[in-house]
Amino acid sequence: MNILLRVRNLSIKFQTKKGIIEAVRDVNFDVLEGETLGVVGESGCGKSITNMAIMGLLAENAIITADELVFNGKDLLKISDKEWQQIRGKEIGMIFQDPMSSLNPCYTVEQQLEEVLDIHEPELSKEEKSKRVLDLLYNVGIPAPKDRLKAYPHELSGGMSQRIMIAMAIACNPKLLIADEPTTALDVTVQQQIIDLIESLKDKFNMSVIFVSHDLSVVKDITDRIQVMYAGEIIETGLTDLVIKSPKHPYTKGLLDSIPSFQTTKNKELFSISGIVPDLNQRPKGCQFYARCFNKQDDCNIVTPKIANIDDRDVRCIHTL
Amino acid sequence: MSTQIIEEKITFKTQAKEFWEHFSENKGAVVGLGLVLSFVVLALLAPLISPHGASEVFPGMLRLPPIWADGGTTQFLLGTDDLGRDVLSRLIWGAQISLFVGVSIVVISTVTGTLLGLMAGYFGGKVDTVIMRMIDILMAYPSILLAIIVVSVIGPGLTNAIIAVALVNIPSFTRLVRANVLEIKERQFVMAAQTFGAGPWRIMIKEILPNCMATLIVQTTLGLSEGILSTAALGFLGLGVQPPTPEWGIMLSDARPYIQSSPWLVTFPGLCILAVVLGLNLFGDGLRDALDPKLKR
Amino acid sequence: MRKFLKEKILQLIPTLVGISLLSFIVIRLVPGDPVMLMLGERGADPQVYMEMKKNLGLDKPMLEQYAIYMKNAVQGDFGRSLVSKRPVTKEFFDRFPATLELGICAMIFAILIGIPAGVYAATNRNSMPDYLLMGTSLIGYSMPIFWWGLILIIIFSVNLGITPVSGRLDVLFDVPTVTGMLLIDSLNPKVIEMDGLGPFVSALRHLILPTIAMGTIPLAVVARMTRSSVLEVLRAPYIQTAKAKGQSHTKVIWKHAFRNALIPIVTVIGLLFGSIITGAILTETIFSWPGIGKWLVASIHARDYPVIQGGILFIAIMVITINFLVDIIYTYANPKLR
Repeated sequence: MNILLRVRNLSIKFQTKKGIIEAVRDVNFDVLEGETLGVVGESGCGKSITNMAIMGLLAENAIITADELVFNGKDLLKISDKEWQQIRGKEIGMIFQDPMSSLNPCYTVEQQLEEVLDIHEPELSKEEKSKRVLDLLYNVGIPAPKDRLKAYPHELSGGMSQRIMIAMAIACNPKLLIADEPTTALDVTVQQQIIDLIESLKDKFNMSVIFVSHDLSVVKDITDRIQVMYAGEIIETGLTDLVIKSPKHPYTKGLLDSIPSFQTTKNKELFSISGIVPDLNQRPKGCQFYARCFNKQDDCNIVTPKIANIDDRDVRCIHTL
Repeated sequence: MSTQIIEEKITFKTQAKEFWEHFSENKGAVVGLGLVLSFVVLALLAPLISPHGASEVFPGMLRLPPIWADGGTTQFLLGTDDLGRDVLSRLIWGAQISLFVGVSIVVISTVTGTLLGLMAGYFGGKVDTVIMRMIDILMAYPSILLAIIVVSVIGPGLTNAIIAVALVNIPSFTRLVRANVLEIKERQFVMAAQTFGAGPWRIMIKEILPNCMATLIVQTTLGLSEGILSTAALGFLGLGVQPPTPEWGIMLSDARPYIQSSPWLVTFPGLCILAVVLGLNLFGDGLRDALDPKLKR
Repeated sequence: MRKFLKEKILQLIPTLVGISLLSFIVIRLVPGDPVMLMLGERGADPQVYMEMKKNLGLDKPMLEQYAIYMKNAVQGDFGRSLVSKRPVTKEFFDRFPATLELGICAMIFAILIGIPAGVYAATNRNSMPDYLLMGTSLIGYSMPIFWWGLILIIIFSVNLGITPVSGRLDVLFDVPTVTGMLLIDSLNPKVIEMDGLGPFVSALRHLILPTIAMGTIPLAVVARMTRSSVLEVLRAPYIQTAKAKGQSHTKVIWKHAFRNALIPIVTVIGLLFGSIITGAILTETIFSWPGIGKWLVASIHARDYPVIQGGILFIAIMVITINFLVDIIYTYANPKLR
C-alpha cells in the first residue's frame, strides 16, 4: 500500500514567556492509504498537537521542524498559506472533540455545510449544492435530513452535532480524516454510533483515518495500527491486535490495565498508573516514563531510549516487557 | 515512589506579592499608578507646594503667557488668568478640590450602591424589584443629565455637586454588586453559613461581600475617574462648584472667551483632568487584570 | 417573539411612570414658591400671581395636579417656555433635528472607525499597532469632551482656519427646513439650483469638529469593546473548525468571528446613545450648536422650569426607547434567544 502521510523526526516547540518548551520530539510515523491509525495517550502527551501540525493549525508561537512532513506528495513544510487552505477541508478533513461548541452558533446546518462546498467547489450551482448537502446528511445518518437544514447548532444534540461535523469534514472526499477525540464529549450510548459511522464512511469513501483518543478501549476495535504517545514522544507502535495482546512498553501495559471492564470482580481496586506526566519545561534525563514505571532499571534514567524495532513492534524502551 | 503534597501557606504576604508581580507586568498600569500617586501627593501638599494663593490676584498681570513664551516670567510659571491669578497655583489647588470631591463622591456612591446591591441580590423578591426599578429609572438618564437635574433642584455648589454626581454613580455599583451576589449566593459556603443559623446581614457582610471585593475595588477606581470628569463637567457648565473656587472645570469655562488670545488657559486645566483620569483608568484596568484570574490572557 | 415584545413593553411602563413622576416632582422640590419661581418679578402682582397659580393648577390637590400633568403630557402639552413663551413641545422639536443630526454623525464616525480598528487590534494582538490603538482609545476615553472640543477649535479653527468656530451653516446660506437635518435639506433640488453644493459643503464643514468631539468617546469604547469581543470569540472552538474547512483568513475573521462578536458590540453601541446625549449637552455648548443640549443648559441657567421639566422627560424617553430597540435587535440577532 502507498504511504499517504510520512512524518520523520518531527519536533514541535513553543515559544513562551518562560522560554522554549519542546512539546513533541523525535516523532516518526507513516499513515498508509486506506488504513486507520489509532493514536493513544494521556492529556498533554502531544497527540493533538501533532495532528494540528499536520493541518498547519498550530498557534503563531509554534516552531515546527522535521526532516520530512509529506502528505500525498506535498511537502507540508514548504507550502504557502493559500496552499494550506486548499488542503484543509478538501484533502484532509478534521473533526474535533466538543462538537457542540465546534459549530458556529450563528449559522444553520445548511449554511455551514454549504460553506465547505463554496470554498472548495465554487463552481457548483445552487441546486447541486443543495443536493450534495442532503446527500451528506443522509450519509452521516441524520434522520429526516430536510428538516434539519434550517436548524441552529444549539438545537442539536451532541451526537447530531458530531455527525454534522463529520459531514463537513468529508464533504469533499478527503484522503485523510483526522478524528481528534471525537467521542470523548459524547454520551456512552452515542459513542459507539459515531465510531461505527466513521468506520463505514472510511470504507465508503476510501479514506485513511487517524483516530486520536485517550481511551484504548475506544480505538481497539476500529484501528489497524496503534501508536502510543507519552510526554511528546511515540513510545510504542504496532498492529493493534498485537499491541493489545502483548504490549512491550510498560506504559502501554499500564494503559491496558487501567481499563475497567465488566469482568473484574467488584472488590478489586481500580488500577491506575501512579504519578504525573513530567513538566515539559524541565524534562528529566533518560526515559521520560522512568518515574512512573513499574519495570524501571538502574540505567533507565541515564540512557535516553530511542525507538527500536523489535519483531513486529517499534518500541522506545531499553527493557521491554 | 510516594507522592508528597507540599502545602504552601497562603498568607496575605504571598498574595500581595503575587498580585504585585502580575500588576507590574502591565507597564500601563504602573504608569497609571504613578500618575495617580503624583496627583494625590500634589493635592495633599498643595499648601506647601503652591507658589501663590489660589485666589490671590495680581493686578496688572492679566493673562500672562507661560514661562517659555514671550512675556512669561518665572513668577508665574504657567502664566496668569483673566483676573491676574497664577495658573499653576490654581491648578495645584484644583487638584486638592478634585481629590476631595472625587473621594467624597466615591465613598457615598460605593457605600450606598453596595448596600443596595447586597440587599437586592440577597433578599430578592420585592426588595429586589423595588430597588432595581429605582435603579432603572436612574439609569434612564445619561449621567450628566441626571447630575444637572439634581443640581437644578437643589442648587449649585460644592456639596450639591458631590451629592448629584454620587447619585449618578450609585446604579453602576448596585448592579455590579447585585450581579456578584446573585452568583455567590448559590455557592456552598453561603448555604453552609445559613445552616449554622447566621443572620442575613452577617452573611451579606462576612461571606458575600469579601468575594465581591475584587470587582468593587476596580469599580471604585473607575468611579473615581468618572466622578472627577462629571464634577469638571458640572463646573464647566457653571452648575457645580462655583467660582472663585479653583476647580479645573470652572477654569476651563473661564478660559473660553480667551481661546484665541490665550490658548494656554484652556490647555492646562484640561491636561490635568486628562492626566488624572487617564492614570485612574490605566490603574483600574491593571487592577482588574491582576485581580481577576479568569480574565488573564 | 411577540410574547417577548409584550413582556418588554410591560416592563417599560413602571419605568416610564417613574420618570414622569420624577419630572413632575422636580419643580415641586425646588426650594421656594414654584409660582414665584415661574413668574420671577412679575409675581409681585397678586392678580398675576393668582392667575399663574390657577394656570399651573397649583390650587388643586397634588394627585389631581399629577393627573392633569399626565393628561397634558400624553397630549403633548408641556406648557410654555418662560423665556420664549412658545410651547415647550414646539421648542423641543425645532431643535431636536440638530442634535439628532450631530448624534447620528458622531455614532457613524465612532462605528466606522471603531469597529475596523478593534478588529485589527484583535487580530494583531500585542503588536505595536495594537498598543497604539488601545493606548489612543484609552486617552480618548479619559478626555473631558468639553476640553477636547475646545482644543479642536484651537487647532483647526483658530490656528489652521479650516473649520468654522460655531453654528451649523454659513450665514449667507438659507436652507428651507424639511427634515431639519441640514445634510439632507441642503440637497433639496431648489437649494442646489440657487447655491449649488455650497450649503451642503458648508453644513459638512460645520459638522466636522463637533462630530469628532462628540464621537471620540464612543469611538474609544467601540474600539475597545470590539477588540475584546473579537479576542474572546477567536478562542472559540468553532473558529478552529472554520480554519479546518480551509476557509481563508479574512473570511474566518469577518464571517465567523466578527458575526459572533457583533452581539455584545451592538449592545454597547445602544448604550452609547446615552453618552451621546451627555456629549450633546457639552458639545453643543462649546460649538454653539442649536440643539436641545444647549437649549436645556440655557434653560437651567434661566430657571425656565417648564422647559427643564419637559426636556428632562423627552430625553429620558428617548434613552429608554433606544435601549428598548437595542434589546430587540440583540434578541433578534442571537439565534439562541429567539
